Amino acid sequence: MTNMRERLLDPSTPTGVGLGLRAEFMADVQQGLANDRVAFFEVSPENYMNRGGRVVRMFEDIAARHRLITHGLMMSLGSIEPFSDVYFKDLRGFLARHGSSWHSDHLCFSTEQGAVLHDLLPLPLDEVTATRVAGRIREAQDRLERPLAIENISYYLPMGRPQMSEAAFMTMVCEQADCGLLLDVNNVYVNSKNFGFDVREMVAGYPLERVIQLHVAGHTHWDRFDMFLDDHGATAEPTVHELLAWVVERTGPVPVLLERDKKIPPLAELLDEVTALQSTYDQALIRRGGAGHEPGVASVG
Amino acid sequence: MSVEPDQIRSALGQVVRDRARHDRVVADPHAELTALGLDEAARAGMLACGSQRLLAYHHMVHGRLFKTVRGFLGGAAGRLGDDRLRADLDAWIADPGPQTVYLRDIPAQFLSWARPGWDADPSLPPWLGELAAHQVSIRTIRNDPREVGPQTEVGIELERPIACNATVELVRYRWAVHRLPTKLGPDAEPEPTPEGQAVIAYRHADDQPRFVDIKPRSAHMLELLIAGKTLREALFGACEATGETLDDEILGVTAVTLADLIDRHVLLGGLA
Ligand SMILES: [Fe+2]
Repeated sequence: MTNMRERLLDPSTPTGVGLGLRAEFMADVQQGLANDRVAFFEVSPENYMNRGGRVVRMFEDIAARHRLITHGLMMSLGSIEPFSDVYFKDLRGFLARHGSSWHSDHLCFSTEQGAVLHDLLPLPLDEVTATRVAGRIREAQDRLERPLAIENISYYLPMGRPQMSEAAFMTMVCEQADCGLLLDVNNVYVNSKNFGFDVREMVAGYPLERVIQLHVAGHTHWDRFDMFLDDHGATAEPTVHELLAWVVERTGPVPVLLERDKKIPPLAELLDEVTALQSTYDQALIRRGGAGHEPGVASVG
Repeated sequence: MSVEPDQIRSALGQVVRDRARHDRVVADPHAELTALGLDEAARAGMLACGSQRLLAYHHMVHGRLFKTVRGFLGGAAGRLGDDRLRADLDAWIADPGPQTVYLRDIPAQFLSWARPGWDADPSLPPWLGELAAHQVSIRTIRNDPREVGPQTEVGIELERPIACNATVELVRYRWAVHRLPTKLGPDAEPEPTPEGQAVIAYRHADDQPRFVDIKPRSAHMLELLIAGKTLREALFGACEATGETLDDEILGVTAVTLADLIDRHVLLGGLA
């Protein structure tokens, strides 16, 4: 069994809880308000590639002073159209300057017959699709000359009659592509609420030996369609803390990312949530250490 | 033989894109999924949680693009009205749809598709497309990947080109849409642009987009300077274009204009 963490995490990899960089609080970060409060910032290259002006200058400034992990939005690994050469060229350039030892994107599709739909659309959970997507991931890794980690998405619709669980599908894809897993525990939780499965059982079914990063976030209820929406519009629920702890007890130190995209509060509030998650993470590592390194104690007689 | 997995993927993609398919799913989900090539097992699976979930994806995608485009179009979107903008955007997403991975480039792509229709529509103000283009250009200039260089601190010479701010474009609006207030009142109307006058659109060194009116002769001169001509060539070319003869008065005015353009960071000084 391949442990991806041994292959991809090196001494320069930030571990502990980081924050997704967003335009809403970039100026505060640039002014140093997040110094020593986050392990790293996660950035989406699409927000800065092919762009100039104030936002990019702020980003460059932040990149010079904080550790970064990159996370893409638009690779569309599940599509059937050929990859865009221009996109990969630009992404390679960005990663050469700001990338860590891997890049990540989602196990989904975003384009349909050439149109870029700017959403993460779900794939049918079957062997044929797993094999096809794994081939695309291998091609993407070759084009980037860099390993990829694939993130599980939240989805709202069964894509036909599934042949397997989301965890089994991810396992098959990761093994065939020999890639890392960016496990978003909130996404599994949202799916469990929308489809009524046991979230702990499902998380346990993911290939934990391939986890090199975690995502945590909150979500909300979309009344119009009566479903839970993974909008990153709230603080992470206690169950997400529990899932984070459960996984970290099994993986050991990894980067953990807090995502917030809607109803973004002031940076100070987000940093407080980072601190709370860090405490959950630290306690999980202590429990892991305790389990692994307990001195042999016995009593006789 | 069951359907190919890619047919299921494509069925979702098509319902997401196409408003007409969305409406047919509302009316009869099984019939529409059958029309998309799905067999009974695939249809049953996809509709297991109700057709609402399928429709939700359509609304997520269209909602995000609508919000982005409306935000970029500013007052032009307000004047157009949400219903018309939504209808046009729906038609565009169905065919040809966004072709860029950059969300910030979508409004410009949509506008280049929608504008001919707006310009030809007598029920809309004739300047609406131009205002929309101006609003989008504010963001385009702000995000222009070309770098705004510093002043060269080199004097300008008649026989040499002048260094220009790389983001400078000379725009020829038919109406002074750049002078309309951001919050567009219902009766707001732009003035027609005086004959030959142009607008310099660029990003200043302070990162803010700027729009500066420029008179006909100076506009021609700037156009030639941007094309890399020497100051002498630009000056003579501009006079030729306006049918004037270069004299001391024009030279005097030009000296003041050049100083002003350098001051505004449109021109950066002599080439180093
Ligand atoms: Fe995520």
